[in-house]
Amino acid sequence: MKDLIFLLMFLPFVILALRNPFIGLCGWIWTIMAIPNNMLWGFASDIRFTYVIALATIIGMIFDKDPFRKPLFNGLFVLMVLFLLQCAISNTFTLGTGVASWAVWSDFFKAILFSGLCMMLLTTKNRIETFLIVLLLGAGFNIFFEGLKFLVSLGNYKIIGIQNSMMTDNNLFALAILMVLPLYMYMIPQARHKYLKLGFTGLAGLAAVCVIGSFSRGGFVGLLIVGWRIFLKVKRKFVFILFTLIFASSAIYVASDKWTDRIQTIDNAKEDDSFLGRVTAWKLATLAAMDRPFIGAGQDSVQHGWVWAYYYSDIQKFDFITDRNTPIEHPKASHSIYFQVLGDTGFIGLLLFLLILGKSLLLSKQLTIDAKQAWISNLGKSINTSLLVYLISGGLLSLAYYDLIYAMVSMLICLKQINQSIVIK
Amino acid sequence: MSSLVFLISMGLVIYFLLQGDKQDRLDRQQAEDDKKTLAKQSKAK
Repeated sequence: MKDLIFLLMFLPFVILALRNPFIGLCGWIWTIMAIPNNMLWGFASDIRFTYVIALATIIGMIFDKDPFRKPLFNGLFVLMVLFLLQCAISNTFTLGTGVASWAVWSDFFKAILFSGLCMMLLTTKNRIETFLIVLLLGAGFNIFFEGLKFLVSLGNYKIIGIQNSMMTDNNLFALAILMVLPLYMYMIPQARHKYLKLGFTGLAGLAAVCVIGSFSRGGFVGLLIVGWRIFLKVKRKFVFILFTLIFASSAIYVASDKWTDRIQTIDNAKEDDSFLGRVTAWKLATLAAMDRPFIGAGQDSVQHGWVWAYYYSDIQKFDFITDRNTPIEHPKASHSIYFQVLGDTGFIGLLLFLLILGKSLLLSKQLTIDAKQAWISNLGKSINTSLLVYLISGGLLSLAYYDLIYAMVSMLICLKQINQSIVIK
Repeated sequence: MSSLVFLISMGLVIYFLLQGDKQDRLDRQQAEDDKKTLAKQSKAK
């Protein structure tokens, strides 16, 4: 019954996407953030809603004569396509299993396709804000339940991430939330509906609770960065400090000693097994890149048993960092966007990835200075904070091919185009 | 409980999509009108 109701409610998404493709993009991001399949257990649980909405959007684009559509030729998109091609070349000569590498590539291809379509279609203020509202409502659903479970259980519920998504563990979930948190802060003053404003304020608070409840140290560092950026932005700094102190002390009180013990391990990183496991993974990713500098080992390959064992034999080359390593029989994911890309695609891939991030960061900064309207500057600042969090916290997490970061980059391009088209009278 | 909240949030999403679509139609109409006005002005010149 629930599946049927859901399908009936999903139908307007498809119809609207066919009629107006930018709505399709909004539906697309909603399926990425809300993960509707996790809520369905019947016949509809196997339907790939992202595919359905993507198809409807592309069909809609063929027939829709959109006066606001923009061409795709810009430096950042070219870099993204080059990076995608570099991944394809690496996967062709993958050291791991082809199936696993191409599965990652297939998801990444969808992320770049989505990003390209965003650049073409999110070309007005209304479109960008509708897109953001839907994105935040989608993310808000998971934030609402995970945050509430943590609060109601008085900190005994540990947030472990969202199934069937890229946020499958606590660290990845924390980073994804931290990336959307600045967008909530942008939308709160922008929202025209009183209840939406209120809802987004509540969800922003719950998002911070979720980061604490994830027990993620990388997430905690990211939360400090976001908090600092919000502090710089708000006018009533004293109220913000007071609110933060009350919020932080009650959240930490609820989160119990386990949380404080976990966060304090940041000080003892050299003794911490989990951190040493990451360092081992970074060493092996570097060894893979040194062995195959132009192509790397292929996406998702270094953590494969035999690839891990193959490079592990040379691990003593990095003994000058630390000679304590994870045992050979325990392969680990890269746990860093930089080492993930380095191991997967070699130095060329890393260079392209860094160029994408660096250019985006500069663009977001430039938008905050050159913006002809306040909303462009504010959104530029918010995306700048999200990028900063991604660059810093991402240093400890494997989330290099996450859809949301490429969607944010495309939003920056859209903002730049809108800003250029504004004529000051 | 979670199913109900999920369906409510989906309902909200549909509401905002419809609002966005409505505003987009208005923007398109405005762009069309501006184009016509510009064409008329350039003809008059």
